[in-house]
Amino acid sequence: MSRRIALIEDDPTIRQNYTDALKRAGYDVAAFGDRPSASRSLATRLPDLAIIDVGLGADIDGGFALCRELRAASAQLPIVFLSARDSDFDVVSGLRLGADDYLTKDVSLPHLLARIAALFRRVDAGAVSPAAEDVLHRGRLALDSRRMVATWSEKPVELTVTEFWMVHSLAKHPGHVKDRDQLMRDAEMVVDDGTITSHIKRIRKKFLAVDTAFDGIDTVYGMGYRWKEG
Amino acid sequence: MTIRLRLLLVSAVLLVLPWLAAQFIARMETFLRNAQEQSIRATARAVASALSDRQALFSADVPGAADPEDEERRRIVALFAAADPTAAASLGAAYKPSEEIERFLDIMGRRSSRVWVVDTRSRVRGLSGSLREDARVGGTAYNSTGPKRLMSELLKPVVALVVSAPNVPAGDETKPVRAQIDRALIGVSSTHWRGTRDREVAILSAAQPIFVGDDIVGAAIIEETTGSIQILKESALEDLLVVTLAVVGAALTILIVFATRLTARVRKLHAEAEGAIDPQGRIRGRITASPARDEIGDLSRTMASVLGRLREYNAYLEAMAGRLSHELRTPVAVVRSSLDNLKAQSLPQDARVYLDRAGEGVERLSRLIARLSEGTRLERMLESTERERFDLAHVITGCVEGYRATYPARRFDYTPPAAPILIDGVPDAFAQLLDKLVENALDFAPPETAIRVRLAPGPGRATLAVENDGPPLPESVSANVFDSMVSLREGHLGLGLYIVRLVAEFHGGRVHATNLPDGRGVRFSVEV
Repeated sequence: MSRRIALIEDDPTIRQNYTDALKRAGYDVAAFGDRPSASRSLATRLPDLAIIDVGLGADIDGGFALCRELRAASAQLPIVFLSARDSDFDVVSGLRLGADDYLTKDVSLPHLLARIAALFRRVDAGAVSPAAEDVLHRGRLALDSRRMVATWSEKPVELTVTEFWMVHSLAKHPGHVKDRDQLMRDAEMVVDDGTITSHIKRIRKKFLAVDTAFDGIDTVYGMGYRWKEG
Repeated sequence: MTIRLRLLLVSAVLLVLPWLAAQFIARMETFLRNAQEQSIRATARAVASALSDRQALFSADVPGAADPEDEERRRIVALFAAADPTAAASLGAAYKPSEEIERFLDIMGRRSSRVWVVDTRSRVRGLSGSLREDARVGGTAYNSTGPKRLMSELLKPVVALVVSAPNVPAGDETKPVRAQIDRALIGVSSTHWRGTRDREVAILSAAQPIFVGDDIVGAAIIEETTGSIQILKESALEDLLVVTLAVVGAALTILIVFATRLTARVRKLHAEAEGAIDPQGRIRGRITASPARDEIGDLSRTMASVLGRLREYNAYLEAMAGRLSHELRTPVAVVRSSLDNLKAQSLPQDARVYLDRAGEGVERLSRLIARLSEGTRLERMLESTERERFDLAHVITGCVEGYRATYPARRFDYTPPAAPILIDGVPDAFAQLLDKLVENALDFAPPETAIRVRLAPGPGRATLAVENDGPPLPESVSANVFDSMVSLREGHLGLGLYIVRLVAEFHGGRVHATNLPDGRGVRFSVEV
C-alpha cells in the first residue's frame, strides 16, 4: 500500500509540479488549493504526511491554522511547511505549532523527496529496535540516523529532520570545523548563511532545554561550527 | 542678527514720540508767551487809556513831593528789579497812592498780575494786585498725590533737559526796566521780559504812557509772571513724558515678549528639524505638528507631514527588498520544480545541456532572492535575539582567519588588539557585518593588494575598519552607500553595506565610508 501525502498549496503550477514529482516517487497525493477544502477532506481521512504552504491565497496564515487542526487530530502525523516566507519568526512559529520541518520553496525536488523519505523512516523506525550501525555515539549524544532520533544523556531531543542532519554532520567528526556550505550540503538544504545561524541557534536551544549546561556546539567565527568533544 | 534684536532696532522708532511731544510743547510755549505779551500790552493800553485825560488824578500837589527824584526812581527801579511782591510796604515815601487810581485799578486789574501807575516824577500813584498769588497757585499744582509726585520727581532731570527757563538772564535787570519807564514817560510803550531770583519764573512787564491831552502825565506798568505758562508747560511735559514713556515701554515689552515667543518657536522647529535627520540623511526623530494657526504653525505642520511621508517612503524602500524576495520566490519555485520534473523525464542528451544551464540560472536567481531578504531576516533576527557580552576581538580575529583560509590568494593585514574588547550584542551579527565589509573590499580591491582590517578600542567601545586600495568613492554616494539598494556596481543589489549599517545601528554604532587621502583607497569604518 503506497503512502498518502496531502499537499496544500495555493499556487496551481507548483501544486501540479510537486504532485507529479511525489507521484513519480510512488506516493499517493491528495492536493488542495485552500484551507476549507483541505480541512473537509482531511477530517474524514488523515494522510500519512502533510506538506503545507503557510500563505494560502488571501488566508495569509492559513497554513498555520491547518497545521494546528492536523496536529490536534494526530500527534504522530509528520507535517512539513513549505513556504516562500523564510523569516526566523515564521520558522519558529511553524515549528512551535508542531511541524516536523520547515522548508523554503528554494528546496529542490530531490531534496524535498529526501526529506519526506527521512520523515517516513522516522515514523517506521519507531517500532523497530535500532540497529547498532545506525547509531552514532558522541559522549552523551546519541544519533540514530535510521529513526532520526537524537538523545542527550538518554533524554530525547526533539529535532526537526533538517536540524537532525546538521547535528549529525557536526558530530560525525568532532573537533572539525564545518563551514556553512558543508552543513548545507549535509542537511540537504539550500539556504543562505543567516538561516544556518538561526538553525544552530534553535538546535542549541533544544539541547539547552534538556541540559542547561549544554555547550556542545562551538561557533568558530568566520569559519563555521564544530562539535566539541567530551 | 537675531530677529529679536532687529525688532528692537525697528521699535527704536518709537523713541521719536517723546521728542515730538517736546517739540510740540515748545511750540505751544512760544505761542502762549506771544499771547501773554499781546494780552498784557492790551491790558496796559486799556489801563492807560482809562486813566487818560483825567487831570485830577495826577494833580501835582501831592504832599511830600519834595523828595529828590533820583532817589525815588532808584527805589522804584530796585523794586522792579527785585520783583518783591510786598512792594507796597517798602515803598515808603515814594508810595503816594491816590485813592481814586487805586480803586480804579482794583476794578481794571487782573488777577495774577500787578499794575502800577507812576506819575512823571516817578512816584507810585497806584498799586494793585500781587505776583505772589500766582506763585502760590503754581505751588499747589506741584502738591499732587503720591505716585505722580514721585514720578515727577524722577522725571525732573529729564524735564529740565527739555524745558528751558525763559530766554532772559536772571539777576540785576534794572537798566532795561528803568529804560522802560523812562520810555513810557516820553511816550513809547514797550513790553519786556526779565528774570527773577527764582530761576523758574520770568516776569513780563508792559509799560504804557498815560496822556492828558497831549501831555504825558504818567505811566501804567503791568507785570505778570510767566509762572502759569511754565507750570503748564512742565506738567504737560511731565504728563506727556510719562504717557509716551509708558507707551514706549509697554510697546517694547510686548514686542520683546512677542519676538521671544516667535524666536522660541522657530528655534524649537529648527532644533526638531535638525534632530530629525542624522548626518547620513536618515530620519530619526519626529517633528510635532504645532496646532498654531499662523505661518510658523503651517511651516511646522508642513515639515511634519513632509518628514512623515519621507519616513514612509524610506520604510517602503527598506521593506521592498524583503517583499520583492517573497514575491519572487514562488515563480522561482515554479521554474525549479518544473526543471526538476523535467530532469526525471527521458530526454535526449543535447537537451540535458540546456536543462543544466537553466538549473544554474535558477540557482543564481534563488541566491539573489535569498540575499534580497537577508536584511529583513537580519532585522527579525536581531529583534528576537538576546544580547550577550562578547569579545569583539575574538570574533574579528576568528573571521579574519576564516577569510585567509577561504581566499588564499589575498592578503589580509590584521593585528589583533592586545586586550579583549567586550561589547554587548550579537556576535553572529558582527561576523555577518565583517563578512559584508570584506566581501565589499574584495570586490573593489585591485588584485595583489592587501585588505586591511583594523580593530582598535575607542572612541566609543571600539572602531572596526576595513580598508582597500580600490578606486575612491564618488562624493555623491558616500553618504548613502549604506542605504538599502544603493550600489556602485552593475549587477549588485546594494544590500551588503545596508546589512553593515543595520548591525552597527543595532549595537548603537555608526558607519562611515571615507576615501583615504591621496585617493589611495577607501575606508569603511564602524564605531560602536
